[in-house]
Amino acid sequence: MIKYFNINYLSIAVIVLFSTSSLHAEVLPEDRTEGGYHYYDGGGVEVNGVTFLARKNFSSKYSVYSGYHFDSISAASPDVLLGASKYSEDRDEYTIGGTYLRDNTLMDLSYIHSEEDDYESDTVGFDVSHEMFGAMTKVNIGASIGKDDITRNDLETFSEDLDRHSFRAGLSQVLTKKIVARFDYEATVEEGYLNNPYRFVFVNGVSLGSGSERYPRTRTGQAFAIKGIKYWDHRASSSVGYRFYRDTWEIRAHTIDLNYSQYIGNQWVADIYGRFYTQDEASFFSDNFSVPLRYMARDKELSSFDSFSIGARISYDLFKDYRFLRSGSLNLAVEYLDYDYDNYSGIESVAETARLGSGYTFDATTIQFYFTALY
Amino acid sequence: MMRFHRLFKSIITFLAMIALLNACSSFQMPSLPQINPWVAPYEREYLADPIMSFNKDPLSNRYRQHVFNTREGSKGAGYAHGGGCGCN
Repeated sequence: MIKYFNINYLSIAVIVLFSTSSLHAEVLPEDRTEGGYHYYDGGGVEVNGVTFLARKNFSSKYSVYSGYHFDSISAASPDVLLGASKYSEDRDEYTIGGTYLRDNTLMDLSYIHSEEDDYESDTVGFDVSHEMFGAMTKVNIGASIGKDDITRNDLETFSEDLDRHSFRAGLSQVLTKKIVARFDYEATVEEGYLNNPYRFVFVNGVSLGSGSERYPRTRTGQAFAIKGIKYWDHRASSSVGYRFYRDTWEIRAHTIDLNYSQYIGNQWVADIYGRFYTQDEASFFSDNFSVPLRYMARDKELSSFDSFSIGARISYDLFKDYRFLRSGSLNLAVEYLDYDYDNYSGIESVAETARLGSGYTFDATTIQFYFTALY
Repeated sequence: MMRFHRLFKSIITFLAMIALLNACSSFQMPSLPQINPWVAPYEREYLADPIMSFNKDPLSNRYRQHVFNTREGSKGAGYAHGGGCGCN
């Protein structure tokens, strides 16, 4: 039912797009190609892979883009070790999309397909942005529809699905010659199988076995974000952002993002960034339930925890205006993450059940190395 | 959940009504109030600098948001969207 409603909304939104007139000229996103390597290591999980993204404009009105992302995942997190042995799997993600420019209105349609051995996901997204008031203000709305198929590698008869819908709106406002502010809102509705099919719960220290988590089959969330960015005379910029999230599972989350960018000479740009995050647990989370309940979760993503991260990125301009290329750069980004759980124990075997209810911590490092070419 | 559907439907219906009015030649789009930009186009040198973009490195940001999305219980509002899990 929901799916058909949203398809109708998208159809109407298409009519809106193609009927809107304007006075000021917007431009398409710039032509660019990016690609590189990424690495994650932390909490018993190691992920590495490659990413590629390219965009090309045609006749100043149309732009198409395509992307590919590959993850090779080796998992030995506490969740995994508690239920089974270490495993490895791959994830492929394909993106294709197009952008159409009509006067000062940009319309974007995208499709994302993600594939793992036991999880397939398809998402269609549609976004419109519109500049007004002499390009001082930019508003955007968008919607996405997604469908996931969930299976188990160890149980052929297991098959579930999940429908995802989201609606988003935003506003970007020039405040002064050096300051821009932005506001974003997004509502998400998910219906279907929201569990992880492998994880399990404890009741009085006794495991109920793999797949014993029971989640509600619906989840509705809302996120509100506000950001600001300022240019500094010493060829630098700084930004700060805050996001509040809440949902019908009673998760409340606060996120603060900070970033500082600085030109160094004519060829280098350095970024330093930090992120602080805190969330409350879902109403049906427990590391160790005292009695079986209708809904039970022991997934650490639904527990109460704090995290912070600090990272740096350095970009080096290789060249400018070389043949058909406008510029090319190499980029290296390194980030350290720390997660501190309040009441998720992270035990790795049933021999450790005495520790249920205690706090678990882990830290992680991510590395990205990639090139960017603008043309 | 139905509350969001109603909100969604209301917003899109409102936009569709404006669009239909605009598309019909016998009607005029209600003109927005004339607001003079307080930052003139020739004063936007700093705003046009790449380091003033909220998404200066789209590839890097998208990966970064995926790392957070798979480890945290919240999502949305200007942060990357898409499918897939890779979250065990």
